[in-house]
Amino acid sequence: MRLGDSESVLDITRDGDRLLVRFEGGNKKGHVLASAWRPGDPVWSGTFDGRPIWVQVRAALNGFDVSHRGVETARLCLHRARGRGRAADADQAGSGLRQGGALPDARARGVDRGARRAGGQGGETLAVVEAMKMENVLRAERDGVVKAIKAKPGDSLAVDAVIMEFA
Amino acid sequence: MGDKIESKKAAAKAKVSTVPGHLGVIADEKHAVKIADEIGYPVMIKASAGGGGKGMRIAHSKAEVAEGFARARSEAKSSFGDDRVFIEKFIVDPRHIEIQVLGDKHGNVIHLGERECSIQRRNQKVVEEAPSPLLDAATRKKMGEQAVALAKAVGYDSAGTVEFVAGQDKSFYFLEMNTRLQVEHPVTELVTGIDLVEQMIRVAAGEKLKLKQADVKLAGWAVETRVYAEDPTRNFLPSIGRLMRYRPPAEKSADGITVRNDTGVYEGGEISLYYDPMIAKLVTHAPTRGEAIAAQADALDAFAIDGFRNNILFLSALMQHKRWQAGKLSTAFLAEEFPDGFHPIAPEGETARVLAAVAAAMDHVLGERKRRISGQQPGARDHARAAAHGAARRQRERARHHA
Repeated sequence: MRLGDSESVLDITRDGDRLLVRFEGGNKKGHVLASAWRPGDPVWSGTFDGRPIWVQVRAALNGFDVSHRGVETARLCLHRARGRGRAADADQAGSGLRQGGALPDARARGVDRGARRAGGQGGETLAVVEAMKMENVLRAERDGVVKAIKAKPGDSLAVDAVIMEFA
Repeated sequence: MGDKIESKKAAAKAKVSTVPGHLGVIADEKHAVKIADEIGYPVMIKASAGGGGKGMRIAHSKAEVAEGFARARSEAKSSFGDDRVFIEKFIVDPRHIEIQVLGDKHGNVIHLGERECSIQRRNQKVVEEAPSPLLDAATRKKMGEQAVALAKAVGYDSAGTVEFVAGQDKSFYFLEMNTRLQVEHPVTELVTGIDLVEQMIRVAAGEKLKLKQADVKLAGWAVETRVYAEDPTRNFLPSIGRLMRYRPPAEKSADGITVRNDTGVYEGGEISLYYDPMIAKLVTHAPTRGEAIAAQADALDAFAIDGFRNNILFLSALMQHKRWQAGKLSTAFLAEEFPDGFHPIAPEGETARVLAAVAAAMDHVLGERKRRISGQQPGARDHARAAAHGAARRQRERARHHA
């Protein structure tokens, strides 16, 4: 079992409607889990040693993305070998709990045309975009010269749309 | 009282303590800088008709005042249709504490205790609670009396909120009054047991308030978290999409713990860019603050939303935060505790064990299901049969043991 960067070896057996998990090097008694969870349920709701807990679950390749109490894992890979849980050599490009989504369209409020002539300076305001009723100021990250301005005030912008280009 | 400038003047007249500042409207950037210099930095620039944390900026220097003034004015014009802006002193390490008032059309006004709303990001509230971990009974009484005095002075009826900025030393100053029901009203409803909306309807119908101040008692502790369509790992950028999955935790009231979810969305609905990013208000109530926070943590773990980025993981991490649990709050809390934004915490200790065990349990269940599929290699079936026999044998042994 690989949880983020750490590995642990554990043993799991079914005992009626409960599951017993024993960690290698851990408590010999192990931990008792009980739940009515079925594959596809987004929340694992059950008891851990009698204590009610809830864990968010999303299916991922070779395992699950889980989160609990503000903590999320970067890919959980499971591999069975002789009935023991072992870490797999799968990809480590963990990305945590991911949900689909898109950034909003943003409306261009003001594009500083002065920047084109004067050459933008680090920290200078280049444009103001409005999204969800809040105005956001976009500043120059360093000194430079604006080559072209692709938007005008009032335009609606899509995700990753180019607002201006620098020389 | 919905006009921040006029309300401050009314407060001063009703002998309610107010924040030092310039009470007139400001003409332009040059005027703004002059006033800010007089008040002394840092200053807060605010839209007079503003609300919801919009049209507000903190400024620490002349340059910030000039730019902040222009932005605040622009936001005010587009959001509220009124571009009047004023400036006041910004109290350092402040706490945002507000008093819920309720008045009828016959001159009776009572207060229903306070709410603390210090956990804010860009001046928008994220977590609220009632009562406040800062206040003691004496301060609550003083604040409540001043709030009621103010409401009576302006002949206010229906539900309203008098907002104060409080210092860590329990000093407080009138900030503004919200002449409406507020987003965070559920925490007050849960600690007082009073239905505010019902009271508003009765007052509007001309009824006299049946409740007297002595009838208002605060019991237990309530915490509300605002579930937003924002990506906490990308500096809380708003996120739109369709609610592919919307499964809030079960609302219930049992064993002293209450879980309540106020929302206007539904599974399959759309979260668009035209409105506020709020999805739901998750509220919990329990006999103590610690229990209310634990109930929040559990409720957030059980809240499943898919289709766009949301801040549930962030709220969950916040409930585990030591400083939040200790109640050492200020409006700078989020900026101070998450200066580089939010990064998901790596699992360790007990939480890591829980996650590993649950994941193993789920994998096991998946495996059991797979092994039941027909037409498999003989080995797999035997393994399953052996496991089932083992379990049955253990069960028989246990039955003999207990007999």
